[in-house]
Amino acid sequence: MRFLAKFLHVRRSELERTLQVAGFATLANVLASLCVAAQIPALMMVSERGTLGDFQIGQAIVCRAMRPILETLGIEHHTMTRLDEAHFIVDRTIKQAYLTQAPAALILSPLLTGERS
Amino acid sequence: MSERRNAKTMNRLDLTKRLVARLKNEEAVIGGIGNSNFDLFGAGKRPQNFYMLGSMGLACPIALGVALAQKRRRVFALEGDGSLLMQLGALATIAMLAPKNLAIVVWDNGMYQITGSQKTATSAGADVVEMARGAGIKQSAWASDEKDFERSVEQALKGDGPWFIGARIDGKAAPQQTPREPVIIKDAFMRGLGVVPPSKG
Repeated sequence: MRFLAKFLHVRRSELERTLQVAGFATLANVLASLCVAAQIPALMMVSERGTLGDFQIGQAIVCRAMRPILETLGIEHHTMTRLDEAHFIVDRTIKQAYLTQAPAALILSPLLTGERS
Repeated sequence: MSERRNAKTMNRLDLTKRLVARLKNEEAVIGGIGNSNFDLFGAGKRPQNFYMLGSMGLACPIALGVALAQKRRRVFALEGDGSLLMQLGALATIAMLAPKNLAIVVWDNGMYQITGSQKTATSAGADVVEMARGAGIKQSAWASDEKDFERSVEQALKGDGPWFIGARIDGKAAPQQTPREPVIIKDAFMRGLGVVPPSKG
């Protein structure tokens, strides 16, 4: 997380305020009724838990539901796994979200953030 | 200080018209789901009105975002009791961030009116003004009657917030509904706030 924050020129504390998958799962209604319906370019950064060794079954189930929810709503999403790709993906995703007036999600994989399971 | 049990039961459309009549400086108003935004629409179209469709419980968070983004503009959230109960954490966030330009009006008729008038917890004694105070919004009060409501709105227009105004209302449905045009509503609201929506393609 520290390296990603440095790479994106943000404070680590700002990255630590990203959503986790459980928080994301509470947002289906507002994503559908506000962001998608009104074409609002909300950018989400979702810290991916519930995968790659997570021991919490609830987190794992919600993690498996996250991408199907995004796809059902037609929300563009990318999973970030490598630091050398981070700047390109973030820059292009923000640009596209704004230009097309559509929400988008960046999923921060444990491969990138190094979060403990 | 008025308490809930002593507050007069008023009418949402009448109070909304009284509020809108006092807005002289392009104040933003966020109408919550259902009858809250129907009556805002019925009180007269304004470019600075946002008619929120379908996002139950989010009038206060949306108003907070507007208040933080445009600190020189006064912002009102009009929310129902059922909607507020669904998103009570927003009160603590508002108290923590303490935007001086934000006022919350909660219409309390003790029911989920739009879905068939099922009872909300306020019908059993939950007090949204006490909840707002408990969350840290010190300037929270019930409007005892229409004149008191107008006084509270005037205070919110002139003094530093955040403010929380509770208004007990009847169960009369809004006489007209807001057109379901979310993109048009968003674009009109952005322009009303002096923000030009980007063109696509």
